Amino acid sequence: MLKFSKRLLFIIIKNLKIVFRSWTSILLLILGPMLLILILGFAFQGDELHDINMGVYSTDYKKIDPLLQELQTPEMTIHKFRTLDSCILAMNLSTTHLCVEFTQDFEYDVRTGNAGSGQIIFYYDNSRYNLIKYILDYLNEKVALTSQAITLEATQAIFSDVGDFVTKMQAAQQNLTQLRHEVQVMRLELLQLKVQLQQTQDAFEPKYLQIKGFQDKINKNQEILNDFIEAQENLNNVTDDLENVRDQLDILTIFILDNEESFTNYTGEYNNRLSDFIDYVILIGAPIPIADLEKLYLNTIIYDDTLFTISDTQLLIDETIDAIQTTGSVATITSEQTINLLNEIDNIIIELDNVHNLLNDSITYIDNTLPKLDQAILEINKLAAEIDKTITQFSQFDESSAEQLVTPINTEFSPVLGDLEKIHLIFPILLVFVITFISILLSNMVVLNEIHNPAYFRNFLLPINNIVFIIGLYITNMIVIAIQLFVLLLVAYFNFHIDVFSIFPQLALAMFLVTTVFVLIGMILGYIIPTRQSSVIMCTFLALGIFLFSDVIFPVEIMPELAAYLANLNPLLVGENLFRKIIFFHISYGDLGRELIVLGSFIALLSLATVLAYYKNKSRR
Amino acid sequence: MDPLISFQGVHKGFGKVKVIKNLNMDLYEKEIYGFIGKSGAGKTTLLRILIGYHPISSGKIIYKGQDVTKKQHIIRKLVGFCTQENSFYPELTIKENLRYYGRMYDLPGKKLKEQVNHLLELTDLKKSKNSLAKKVSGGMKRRLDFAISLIHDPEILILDEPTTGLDPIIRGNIWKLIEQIRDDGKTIIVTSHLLDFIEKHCDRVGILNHGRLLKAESPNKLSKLYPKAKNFTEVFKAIVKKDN
Repeated sequence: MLKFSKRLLFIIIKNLKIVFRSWTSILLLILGPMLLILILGFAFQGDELHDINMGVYSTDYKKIDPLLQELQTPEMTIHKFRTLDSCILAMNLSTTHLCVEFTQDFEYDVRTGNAGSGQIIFYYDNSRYNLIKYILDYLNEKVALTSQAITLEATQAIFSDVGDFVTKMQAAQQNLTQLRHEVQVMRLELLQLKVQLQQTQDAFEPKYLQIKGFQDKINKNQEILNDFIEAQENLNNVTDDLENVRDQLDILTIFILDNEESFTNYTGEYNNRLSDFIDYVILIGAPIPIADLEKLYLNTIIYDDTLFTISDTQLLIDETIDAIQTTGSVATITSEQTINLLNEIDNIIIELDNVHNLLNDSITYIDNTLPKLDQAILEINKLAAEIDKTITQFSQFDESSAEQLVTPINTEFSPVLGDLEKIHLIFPILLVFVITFISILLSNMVVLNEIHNPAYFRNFLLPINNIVFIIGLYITNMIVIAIQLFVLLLVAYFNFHIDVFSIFPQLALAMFLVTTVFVLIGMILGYIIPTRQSSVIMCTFLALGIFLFSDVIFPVEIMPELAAYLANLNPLLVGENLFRKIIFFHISYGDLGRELIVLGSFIALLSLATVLAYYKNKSRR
Repeated sequence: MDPLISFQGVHKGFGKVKVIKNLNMDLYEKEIYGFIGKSGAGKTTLLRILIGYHPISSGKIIYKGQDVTKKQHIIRKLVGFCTQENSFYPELTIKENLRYYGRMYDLPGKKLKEQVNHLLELTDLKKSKNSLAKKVSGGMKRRLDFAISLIHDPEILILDEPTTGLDPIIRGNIWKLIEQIRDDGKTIIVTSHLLDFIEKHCDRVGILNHGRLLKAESPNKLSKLYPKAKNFTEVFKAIVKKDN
């Protein structure tokens, strides 16, 4: 092993002497990468778009002039064209960078900045996609921002109205709650009234039936009364009957008077509640027929009429009795008075019938009204729930939601690398390009120099393993490229302040792996292609192929699936990813597994291929 | 006297083509052995077998009584080889070339230094030792090539057309050097188309034709076989003609 190492060391020293013995080689090695990065740094230091010429075509420039004035900036000059064809031709001739057509119906409100209708059509040369990307980004930003601001303002106004509506709905909801409370109270009172009425009815009915019995009796006694004229002896019976009637009427009067107040109160209260209820129904527009509700009003006047009638009847009875008793004579009582008396009694009975009916009707009405009130409460509850739901839905919108509505998916693009200069951003790809091209070409040249060297044949005669020469050449290449890369890193660090040394261990490993892959590729081509010219051309094509089969021109993601899969295995692309992750994101070895495995696999395969290529070359001699 | 190295019934073929057929040959210490033959006779293949570059297809190679047929690393240490064209690094100096190859043969520092100095003196390159190899004269390059071939102190030095492309004066000097090397204790095998020099400087000459060794004698003995021949070239032609 020691012998092997010593021989390897002497081979490397010999190789390096050969490489560095030439001044041109030294200059190329040192100045090459330095110039490369300086040129790129000079080219990519700027970050702003400038000197852009935009062709514009419109049938009516008056309409779009204000917009054009907004678009005209120090970076962008606007050129107006009379025809669309001339506008596009100017772009084809590279006089302008793009042509923008404002359609005939395009409207632009100077005051609000609102683009009312119409369309803006961008014509661009998509073969210059890199430039166009920047220009369209620039224009999109200018035009889209204005448009979004306008839409936002309008939407905010709509949401403000929605807010007002929600406030009103909330007030209506409170009123509805109050109404529900009122209806519930009314229902309770109606129930109490019903109980009261039923009690009244229970008390009234026996007396009423008794009076009705007396009426029958009077009717029966009417014949006797008719005979009263003829037979006085019957007068006493009539008088008794009349007194009985008067007594009953007293009892009835007392009863009516006892109940009148509560009945009147309840009825009045009930009628007031019903009136309020009808008002609310009208206010909220509940689906209850008003005419039906109005029928529910209770009559209170009938009580008074009945009392008056009873009183009058009593007076009449008293007068009749007095007359009978006073006169004591059947003759004094005229048949006409008796008939009147009987009529009055009939009237009383009619009134009592009315009271009887009124009580029945009132109870029936209450029975009918209670389910309706229950239904009304249910409707109010339903309505309240609907209003609740509506309020909840509309409450989600406020003016701050307008932006969300204008741009339904609220996106914000935030570059994780901040405002790095382009030279920083392209540094990983610059690094991998330098490694790719230099490694392939240099290793190929070194191998070609070795195998075309007159001394090469002597290597085969040496009593040592041929692998040592392969490894010697590989290490020589690695050292030379390492020097170049170190120069490149120094320039990047000192001239462009790219922090490459804080992550140097990771970066060094990545550079080592990527360089090894391309050095081995260059060596293989050197061994298997015998002529210098063919080998160098092959290397150039291969490097170009690797370069093009990456994401330099178009992203891998737009390639066909198989091509994308293969491109993702391209060591240039793998190396670029590796450098980007290390330089920008300082990702540790553990998270670089895929890249390290891919490069490691390449190295294993290429190492084997290099040995086979060496022996293939040897067998030709 | 025992031979230094013996080739016994050696055959070498590449595929179906048999290039060397039944070669039986002995080499003795401190002799200059010349191989002559027409183009395609198998000289270069034979030399490559001798230097251990090509393994033989069949037969035996015996070195000082030891079978080294399959021990190419022994053969490689045993022989030094000069190709028709110079075989050194033009970008290195004469001394660097010598030191580099000395290192490849694992010569220790002191011995390497002594050997380099000895060879520089032997080949008369001491004054130019620090010159880049590509910048010295054709004769010096040839001598450097000899020196490199001798850096590991081999017992046998094989020279393939050592004077090709050199002017007559330098050619004479090279042959003198070959004799000096022989006198220095080496066995030398040499091929050349310049048969006068072969006749003049070689102790024995082997004539190859179609891969077979027709004769292996001293030039005098060969000349005596064809007394009517005016020179050694005619002797060679007669021997080959007889074989054809």
